[in-house]
Amino acid sequence: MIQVMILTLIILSILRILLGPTIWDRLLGFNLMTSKVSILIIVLAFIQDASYMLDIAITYTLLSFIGSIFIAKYIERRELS
Amino acid sequence: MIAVGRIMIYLGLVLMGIGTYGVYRFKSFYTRALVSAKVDIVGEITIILGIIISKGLTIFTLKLVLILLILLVINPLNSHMLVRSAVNSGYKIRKE
Repeated sequence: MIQVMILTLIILSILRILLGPTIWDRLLGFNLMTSKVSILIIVLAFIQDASYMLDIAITYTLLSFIGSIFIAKYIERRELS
Repeated sequence: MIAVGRIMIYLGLVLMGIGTYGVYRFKSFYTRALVSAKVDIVGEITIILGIIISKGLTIFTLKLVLILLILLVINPLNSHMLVRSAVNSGYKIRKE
């Protein structure tokens, strides 16, 4: 039940990526999606009682942070509407 | 204890849903960034605290506390970098 609700929120965030008018809106949707995916991995680890999945959640969070920061630095001072 | 954890998990889901609804509700970029930065991290904190309360003190909980600390540092930094990139590139505020 909890997984299905989080999956619905992930699909709504992906819709924000698809119909965002500017590139920063798409990056905002990406930011929302990655945080929800890491919460989904944590909830799956809680339901199956598997402690090794939390390492995957830590790695996913750090990698999404690196990706989002470098894309935000790359599109700075550029005329992409 | 398990019932309190379940209630906190569902409360966090409701908060995350409000944050995702607010991203569609507002028209300008900066208000959208404000809503997604504030409400989303509150939902994540509530869900992780609910799981910690319902599990007790094990090695699982220590890893969850580590993830919570990482999220508390990362999520405001992420939205700060996003809005700073939009301001430096000259993003115009649209009239609502």
